[in-house]
Amino acid sequence: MATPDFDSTTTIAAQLFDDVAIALRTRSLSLWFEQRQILHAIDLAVPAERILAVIGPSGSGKTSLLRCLNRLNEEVHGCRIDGEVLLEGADLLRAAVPVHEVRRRVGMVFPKPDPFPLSIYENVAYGLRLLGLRRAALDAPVEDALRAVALWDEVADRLDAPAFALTPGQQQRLAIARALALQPQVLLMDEPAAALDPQSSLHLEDLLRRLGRRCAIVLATHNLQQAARVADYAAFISDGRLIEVNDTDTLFTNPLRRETEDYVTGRYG
Amino acid sequence: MHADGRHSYRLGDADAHEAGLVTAERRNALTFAGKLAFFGERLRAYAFGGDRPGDHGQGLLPALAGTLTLVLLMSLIVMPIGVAAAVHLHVYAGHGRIGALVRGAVGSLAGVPSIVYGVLGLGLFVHGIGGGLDRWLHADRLPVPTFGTGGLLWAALTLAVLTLPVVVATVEQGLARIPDTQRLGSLALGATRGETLRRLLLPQARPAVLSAWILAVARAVGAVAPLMLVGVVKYAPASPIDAAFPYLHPSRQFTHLGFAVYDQALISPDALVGVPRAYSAALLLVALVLVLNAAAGLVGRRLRDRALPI
Ligand SMILES: Nc1ncnc2c1ncn2[C@@H]1O[C@H](COP(=O)(O)OP(=O)(O)O)[C@@H](O)[C@H]1O
Ligand SMILES: [Mg+2]
Repeated sequence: MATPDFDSTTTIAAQLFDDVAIALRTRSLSLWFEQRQILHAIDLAVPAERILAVIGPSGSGKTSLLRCLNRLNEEVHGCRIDGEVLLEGADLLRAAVPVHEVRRRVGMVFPKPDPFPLSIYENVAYGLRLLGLRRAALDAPVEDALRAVALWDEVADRLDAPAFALTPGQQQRLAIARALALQPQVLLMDEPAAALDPQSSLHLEDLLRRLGRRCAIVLATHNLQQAARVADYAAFISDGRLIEVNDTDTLFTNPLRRETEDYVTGRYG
Repeated sequence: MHADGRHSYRLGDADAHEAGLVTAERRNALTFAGKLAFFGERLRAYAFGGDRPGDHGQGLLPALAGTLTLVLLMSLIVMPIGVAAAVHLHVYAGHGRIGALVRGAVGSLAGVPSIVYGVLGLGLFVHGIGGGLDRWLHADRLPVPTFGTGGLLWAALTLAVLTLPVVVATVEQGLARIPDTQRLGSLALGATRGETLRRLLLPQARPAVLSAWILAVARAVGAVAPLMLVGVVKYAPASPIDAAFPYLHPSRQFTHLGFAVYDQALISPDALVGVPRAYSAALLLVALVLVLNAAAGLVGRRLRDRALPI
């Protein structure tokens, strides 16, 4: 089979998203840092209440792609974005939605847990406090979020302890709770297990599978086993180009594109 | 001779001048209570002025009060401006040529000799702004200047300009030490840049703000030369703080410990009295800096131990 044209074409399995709602999609999304193009015309659909893994080698643009979806790239000097990011039909890049509103609806978890130097409680309440909520109105959503990440039973008796006192695994779950407290429609997770030991990593994967029924999750990872274990769908990105989108099983066992096959079988690069 | 062992001799004028003495006591013969009373009397003379030559009827307390008032007023001026400038530099001028330019300028300014700031203060604040205020508000009293002469406010402003670079540089370093992941984490939760700054970054920079303040005070307390151009005097006819409304009189002249050191050591007619007094004024100045440092250290420890308020 001849290698299909590498440029701008993405192979998406037929009828892949026919029976799922789409939470967010990008149209011809391109990204530049200074003069260098990082992302090339990406058309990606993020199904609602499912987990979509974005896989690809380091430096392929996973982080950059995720940060387009909550407009965090705009914090990088010299960044330029072209194309559309559609959430419920509205283009987040151009709509009259203020950027902080976008980030409330599209949450993000970073590779390294980095709690704020606040108590466990206040870490989770951080985003809600910005909305002007007072302590009485905070208790319930904070507890909810901590239960959702299976942290409540471990910290219920020391909510006022500094978040630094938690283990890295707990801190990462706290970071997820922090994002979940705002009830985002989409949750972006950038290598969430990168700083965790294997045990905590598996624990986190259990958690992700449960959360995947709560909101749309985009999981960027270069850990193929992890993607295979938790994701419903997988998108392969290489060199800033989206190569193939498929359901996870098919993408790993029977990919449509040669580049994907090379990557998932370890023959990449 | 008195029963308590204290005895005053009256000496002839010539003798008194030669000995530098007006009174003489047989101190070893004093009772314990007598010694205490004597010590208290000397302490009082030290603070408020006694009858020895060179006392000018004024002790070191006005100088101490003048120094403290000056430093506090300067702090009130320089800290908000310095922190705001550092924040601006950190947030908005982080990259590019302008930021580098301002940072370079701030660095060079920190090395400019303090007397240069004195000339700036004299020209800009005393003659420029002060003279302008007089023409506008006190035209009836001219040519007697009200604001157009050295005074506490102009000295505080001069010291604020003098210490601004060190405040800006220290606070900006404190802000730069906070990992960028903290800022991004806050932004990703829907905080605006302003909210991120207020709720997350500035509280974490509090130790740096405190160090900036300590450094500013240390530099300000030691900068005596510029004060001579903008309002320090040997003895102030009226204290800049008193019981009369509005209690703080920023246009009044003031005395200063650093100036007292200079004045006593070189200008006092009597080296036997003057030099020890210069030493003691210097000791008081150093003690003041130490006390301020210790207090700042205590506050700093409390700030670090406490979880940040939201
Ligand atoms: N702030 C930035 N400025 C310039 N180039 C960047 C920046 N961040 C990432 N890049 C570049 O963009 C490319 C994609 O990086 P990234 O999105 O982090 O990849 P991944 O997350 O897949 O490892 C890399 O070549 C990287 O060097
Ligand atoms: Mg990455």
